[in-house]
Amino acid sequence: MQAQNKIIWLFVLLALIFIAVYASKSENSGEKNGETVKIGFIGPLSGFAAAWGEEMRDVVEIAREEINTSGGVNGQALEIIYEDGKCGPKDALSAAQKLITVNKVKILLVICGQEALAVAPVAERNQVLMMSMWATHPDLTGAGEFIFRNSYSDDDTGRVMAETINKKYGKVAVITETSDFTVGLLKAFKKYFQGEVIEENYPPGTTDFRGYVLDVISKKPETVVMNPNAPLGGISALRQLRQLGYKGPIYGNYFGELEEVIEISEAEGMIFFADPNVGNNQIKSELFHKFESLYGRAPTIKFADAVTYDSVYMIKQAIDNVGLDNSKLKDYLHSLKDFKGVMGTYGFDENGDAIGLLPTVKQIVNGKAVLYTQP
Amino acid sequence: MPYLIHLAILVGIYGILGLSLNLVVGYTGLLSVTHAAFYGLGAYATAILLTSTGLNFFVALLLGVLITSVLALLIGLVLSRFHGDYYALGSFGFNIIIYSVFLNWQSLTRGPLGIPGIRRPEIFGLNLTDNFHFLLLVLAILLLVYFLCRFIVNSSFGRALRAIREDEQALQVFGYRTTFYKLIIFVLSAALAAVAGSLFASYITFVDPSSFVLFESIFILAIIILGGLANLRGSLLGALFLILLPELLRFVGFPSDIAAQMRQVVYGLILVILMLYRPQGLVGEYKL
Repeated sequence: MQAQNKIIWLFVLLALIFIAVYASKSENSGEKNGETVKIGFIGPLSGFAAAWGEEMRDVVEIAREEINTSGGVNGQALEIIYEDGKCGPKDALSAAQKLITVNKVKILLVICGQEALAVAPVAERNQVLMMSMWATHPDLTGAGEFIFRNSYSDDDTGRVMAETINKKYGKVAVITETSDFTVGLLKAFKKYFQGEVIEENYPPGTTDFRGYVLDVISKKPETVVMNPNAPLGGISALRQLRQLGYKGPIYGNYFGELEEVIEISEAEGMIFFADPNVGNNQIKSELFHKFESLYGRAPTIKFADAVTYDSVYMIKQAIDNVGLDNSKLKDYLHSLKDFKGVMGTYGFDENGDAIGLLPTVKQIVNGKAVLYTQP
Repeated sequence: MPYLIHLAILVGIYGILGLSLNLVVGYTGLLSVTHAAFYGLGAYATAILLTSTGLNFFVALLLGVLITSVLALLIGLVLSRFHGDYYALGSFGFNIIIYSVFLNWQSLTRGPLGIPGIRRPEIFGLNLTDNFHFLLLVLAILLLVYFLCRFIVNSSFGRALRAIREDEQALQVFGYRTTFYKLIIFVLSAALAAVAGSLFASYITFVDPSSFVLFESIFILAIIILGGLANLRGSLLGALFLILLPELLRFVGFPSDIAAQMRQVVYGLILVILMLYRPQGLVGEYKL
């Protein structure tokens, strides 16, 4: 027993030495070979959001490939180091510490809201430039000088929702899934909506919505807003709402854009607030064409793909212009207003949030999602 | 080495969690799967107090411990009516209840949005924003917790706990009020978990309900089962092992498109192999 214990402690010691040696070795090599520009990528590569994280990684790979074949960044090759953050604060922080310390990364791409909020203070303290593409978490606004968000905030969506609905109705029921994205949306909506809001919240994974729906109907709202995070729950709720006799108008969040939602009869006439419109330019068609031919499948989260692709090019453009100096890079990005990418011509505001990415309002008419204009 | 310091801090926090859970599971033989709930209570109490008031970190920590202890007392009173497998299932339920409270009491916890911007502790005017200083604090607290646990298990109280684990009825025959013993150690263990929670909240500076799901309880249980039940050094060893192993696997050099999946697979495989060949854990003295 005693001997065995010693062996185990020895093993632990060896593992520690291994990490230490490996870490310090890559540290030195990083200093020696300055011929690559390193960018760290932290996203959900495993776990519940892995499908999204992987698609965004594939898009980053396309951008890297293109940049490197056309001469690289500032004359150096671009290298992307991918780490799994599992869409959670703890794993993301471990990944960030590893990338910043061991790989000596000066620029980070971070996907999820929870990841971004945990990594932002560390990035700011180490003057590491951080760009987030998926996080719509309202608290990320103003998280630091080195923190950028190439996306819109839930606050924007809530405002557009409230303004659109306010013009017609005064009493609205919102059926919300308790996830960070949808609760953020509800909060913003309540902030800007001037009428009465009936809140109905359900936990993730709910399939039977009759109780929630009957409660909503009994309170006689003028309209109902569907605010799900997981599409499946939203579809069930929508179906049960109609089946139980609700006849009024329905609004919805992003989920109205999904094929599975558009094709069901209950969704007909629903007005929803989708991701910002991905522009109709040449860069876009080239990107998505390349994606399909490379990976053999159609992109599913086009907006996220678009801003991810743009983010890599924004960073490249910034480095090409001011060199690899983070304090200059952040000033450059803050003053960047005319970047031309998949999402059109845009830039950042003084908080590091992208300007001009506003959600689009659409309606499902005859089984198709079309742009909605207020009558 | 900020990366190693970061890992050391995590090992320290999970070490405290392992030590405290071992008191209940390893020494007393109560299979509790609700530790993440107390961990979360401590974290949330500290997070809310630090972001909404100007309290000192240590005051917030103590208040968090107090709140957690009171709740643990109530939960422990209910749980003391269960035995064996039913105890595990009952404790299981409490984890889910507390998680739902974090998720749904939005006016207090901000629900799934979480609480960002939690302050770091200050000692004598020294703000522990430097991770190395924070590590020293974690190590100091870990050491305190370790010696407290060692004191408990070596005392007559600790012997009574082990006797409860082996044969509760026999102990009752001798006139021991075993429910009382079980309750005390349960509350104490929860209080220590709350300390770990406080440290976690102010270290990560962001808490959200997803950090305190049932899976986290199972992870902490895995730490002590792998490290060894009823062995304090085993808890520390387990924490070291389970935190470092997935990090070690970052350096193996899998191709980047399957790296994340391979890490999970290899991690799981190593755990299965370990349990097959060392069912008592690395240095365990008791088997479930």
